[in-house]
Amino acid sequence: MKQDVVLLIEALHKHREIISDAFHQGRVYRTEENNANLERLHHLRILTPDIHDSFQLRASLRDFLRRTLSTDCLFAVGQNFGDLFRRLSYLVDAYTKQKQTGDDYDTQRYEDEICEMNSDIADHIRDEITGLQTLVTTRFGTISGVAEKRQQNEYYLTRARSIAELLQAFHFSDLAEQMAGHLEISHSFRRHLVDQMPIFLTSLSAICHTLSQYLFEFRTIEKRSQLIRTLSHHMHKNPGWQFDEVGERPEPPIWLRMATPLITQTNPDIGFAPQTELLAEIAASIADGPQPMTTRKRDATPVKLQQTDRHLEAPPEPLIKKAARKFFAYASASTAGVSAKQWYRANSSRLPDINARFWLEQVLAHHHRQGPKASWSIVLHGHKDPVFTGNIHIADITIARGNGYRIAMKPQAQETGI
Amino acid sequence: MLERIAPALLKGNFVCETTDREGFRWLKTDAGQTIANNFFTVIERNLTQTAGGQAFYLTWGRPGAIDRQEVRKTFAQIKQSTRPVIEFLTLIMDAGDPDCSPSPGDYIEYPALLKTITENAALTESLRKFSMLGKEFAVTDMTARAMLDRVIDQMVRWGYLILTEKEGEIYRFTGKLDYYYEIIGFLKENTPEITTPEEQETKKNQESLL
Repeated sequence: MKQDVVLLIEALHKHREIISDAFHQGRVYRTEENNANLERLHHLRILTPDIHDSFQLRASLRDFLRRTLSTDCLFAVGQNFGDLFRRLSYLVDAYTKQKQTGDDYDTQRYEDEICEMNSDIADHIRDEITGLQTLVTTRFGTISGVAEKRQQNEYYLTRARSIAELLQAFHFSDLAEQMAGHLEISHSFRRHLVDQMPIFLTSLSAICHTLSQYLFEFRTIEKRSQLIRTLSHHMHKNPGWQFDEVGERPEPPIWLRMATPLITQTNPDIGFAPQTELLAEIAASIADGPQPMTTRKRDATPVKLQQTDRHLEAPPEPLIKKAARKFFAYASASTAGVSAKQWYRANSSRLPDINARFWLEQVLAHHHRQGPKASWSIVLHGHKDPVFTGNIHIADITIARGNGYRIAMKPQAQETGI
Repeated sequence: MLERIAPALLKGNFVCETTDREGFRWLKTDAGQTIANNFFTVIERNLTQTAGGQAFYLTWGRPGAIDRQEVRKTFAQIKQSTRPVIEFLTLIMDAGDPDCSPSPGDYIEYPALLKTITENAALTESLRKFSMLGKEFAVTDMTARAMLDRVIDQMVRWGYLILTEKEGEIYRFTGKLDYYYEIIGFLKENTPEITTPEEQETKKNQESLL
């Protein structure tokens, strides 16, 4: 006998792939490769022949796998409560009849059966509720795939609702009245079922509520998964794709109006008497921070300047400046005034690379540097610019030693100047 | 409760079952919402719930004109994170249940995720591609662990994940994920060129009929 079990389990293990396929796909079709193995499994009563030259798992093994793997959703699970209640109703009727006939033996037998039935029904309801609660708590954790989870969810929701409806109908039936006159069975009935009914109904109602929520969630999850896949696919197909400028819409969506984070910082109110003590405690408990870094001033070391015999030589005076200085020295002797342009022409050989315009600018600059104290009299010969009326074109400058700082202007026909 | 929730919301955080269970449940009550709204209205902010009702956050409550600069700033941040978050969610789905998009409150077991990614060349490649999505994901060490660490850290920084168990390295998705789903839902609705396979099929059928 023991050997039979070992042989069976070995066969199950050896042909696990076939058994798994038959379980998940409903049936396996005969092929040349699997023909011998199928026959062997058929012989061991693991598979049974099906239509179209195929095999399916025997019901007992299929049920075992479904129960173990918790995927038995689409088929009956637990007890058929309708049958149990019908049986209870029948027993109560029979008990009442026997009681009337005065058959004590049968009356006692029915009484015991009714008491057992009350207890059985209560246990089965409890088991059913516990099973449903486990599924709800784990969110059908043992089942893979949202579609399958949703299908199971729908099944269990229908089942939980049917049981709740059945219990409510039973609760209001005339069974309680029938048992009312019989102490033992009415006590058992009340204790096992009537008193427990509100608890059963509340639990079932909670389960239904959670399952309804899950059903909605599973549908949402399915939709969202599709959305994520679609967007991911779109983004891979279009690497440069960018989100449209939704922010520029007249009425941006609510999620775009998210408030900018606010950084808050508070300080203790040390003047608030009730908290002074607490703050002092806190302050005392804070460890000393690192000592402030002290920096020692380094004594100033006198820098000894080594005297050398070398002295700094001033850079040579530019030629143009030297010329301007000489021109003003020459003009200082004249009271009638000296024309800068004439002096330039007379000394042009000594002023190579310096044009007339640059020379006039230098004369003006030299005059400006000397300032009013030098008492030069200066007359500008030129005309106003026809377009830029704030500017003047200077053709020549007459410099003379005067009694005060004076700038005069004499109109002159257009000529090269500044 | 307000004294605990208000600073978190003002800092720009999302309050949800994962980040603050009690606070979230308090905000779900009418009384809680009234108290919070009265407080935030004074500082021109509104308490707002995500479309899926999984989290609360603050929006501008200024009457009148919309502050375009603020809107642009928020939009720039969203734009920056849209693609990496999509890639991350795809990675999580591929490593776990391909049909099951993560929901707020879902767990990520880091060691298990890393193992799955390391053992699957396609997933490792997906992870490697993150480095091309911005400097936030750039790593010098190109091992799967270093890359995954970087991605997870960034998701935590953006507020989509929080570390709930340090020893077991278990992370949970926050309610901000609901906010993100709201954004991509809007994106899908308002971008005609983004179509699901079913929509593409329908379009093809319609074209063939015409």
